[in-house]
Amino acid sequence: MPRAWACVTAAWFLILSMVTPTVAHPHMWVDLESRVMLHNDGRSIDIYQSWLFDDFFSTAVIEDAAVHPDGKNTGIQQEIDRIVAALEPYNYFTVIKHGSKTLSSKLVGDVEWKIIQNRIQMKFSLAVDKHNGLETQHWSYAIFDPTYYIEMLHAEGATITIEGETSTKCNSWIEQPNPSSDAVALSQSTTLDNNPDETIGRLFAETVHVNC
Amino acid sequence: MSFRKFLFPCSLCLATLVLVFVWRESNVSDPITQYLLAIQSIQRGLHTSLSDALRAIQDDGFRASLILIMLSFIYGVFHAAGPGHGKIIISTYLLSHGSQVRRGVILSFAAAMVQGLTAIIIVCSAFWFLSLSMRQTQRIVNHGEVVSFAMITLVGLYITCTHILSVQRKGTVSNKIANSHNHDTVECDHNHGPNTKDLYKELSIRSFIGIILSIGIRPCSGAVIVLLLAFSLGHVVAGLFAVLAMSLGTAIAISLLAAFSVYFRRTAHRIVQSKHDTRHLVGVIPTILGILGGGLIFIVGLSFFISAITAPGHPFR
Repeated sequence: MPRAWACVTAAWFLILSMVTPTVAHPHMWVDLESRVMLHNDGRSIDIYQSWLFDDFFSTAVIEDAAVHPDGKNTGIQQEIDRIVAALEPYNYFTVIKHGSKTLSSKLVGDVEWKIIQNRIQMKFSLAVDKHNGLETQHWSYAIFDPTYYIEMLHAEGATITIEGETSTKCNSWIEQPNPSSDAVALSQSTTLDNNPDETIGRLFAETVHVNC
Repeated sequence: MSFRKFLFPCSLCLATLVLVFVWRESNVSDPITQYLLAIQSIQRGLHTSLSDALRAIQDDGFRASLILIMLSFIYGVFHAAGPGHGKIIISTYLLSHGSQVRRGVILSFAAAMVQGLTAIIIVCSAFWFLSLSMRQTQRIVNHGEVVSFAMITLVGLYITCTHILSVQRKGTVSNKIANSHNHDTVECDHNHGPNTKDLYKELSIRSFIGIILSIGIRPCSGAVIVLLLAFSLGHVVAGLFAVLAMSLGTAIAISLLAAFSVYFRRTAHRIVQSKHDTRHLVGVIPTILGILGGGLIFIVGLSFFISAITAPGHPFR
């Protein structure tokens, strides 16, 4: 009996080792909040995002900033500016989809930050580019790090609020990650490439669906 | 014998505990998805609890330190319960090379403890001797990852080459004996070169150490961040004990996998031995498995190494 049990467990571990991205562990955790803002009768869409970084990352940034010659706040602001600039080529880790088509977006307004109980919170908005003639009645967005170095999730049971004139006609829901079948095929893509749909991070990402 | 008696109930308890937690955490259907997501979710929760416990040491010294150490131990177990390169290497090595359960457990414990010690050595040197910041230290740790993958590749190559050489030498020695070594009547006490047994012995000790060092040189990421925050907040002793507890948790979880791998191999070996038509393969199988195992370790190490050096920059690294 112990031997049979041992065999099953060993097989289980081996299967796990093979189906999962073995070098992909999140090293950073971000608590997400997001909401959708509709303008011009739903013709333009903004996605507001709040990223609350984990204590370890935040402490490291604050520690570095503390020795900045112009003071801690300037140090943190510089780091936030650096992060925002570095995130731009990755569309701020946000993938917006209408059917199979990926919609582009751009940063609007300033990026704000504050410290909440030793953790840095960064807030910004992305404007969805709808100038490609799409009637986005049903669209979705996902916020994730393609390499899965950072795990980015909304709080458990979180809801996505939709604001704006036509918001009453809309509803939204968060689809939880379900990496099982895709994981096998995509287990080796460990790079931060140009197609985030084929990366590890996508497997563990939540998808927010919006229907208007 | 007493060791085995102790190992089985322990492994059963630990595995049940992990499965109960996983079952409580998950609400999806597919078991692999359920398992992976639950492990991630538990780690995420533990991560927050670890930083809370570290912060609480300021006000509630001893009690918070104990909680930190306990949480670190649990973190170690769960960290090892998920997928990881160390586990692939150890299980591949043990599945392809005959070993005792005890040796498998020693290998796992040593690799996990070396990982903890590497974290301690890097963080202590960075803080005390080099006066580096948390982020600079983390960058050094990231470089350690590349070194570790390179070493795994070399160990895999070494294991494969040694097995291939042993096959060649075995052939040469048996030929020599057959062709020119007919002094049966004379007492023969001179050395004919290393025999296969010696070679395997040499191989296992060297590759054993190679595996321990190659896995251990890459410190556990969890241990590094806990230690960095502990140093930054001035709770050095609590941080050191937390890392040791984390390594112990990882060591126990990995040694279970090691023990299972050893049992798995033995069972397979017995099945082959019991069948009449496959019995003649018993002598050849260890060599074939050794070459395949070494090759697999080499390929895994090389693929990790290539992906580590070719990975583009990351906005947060």
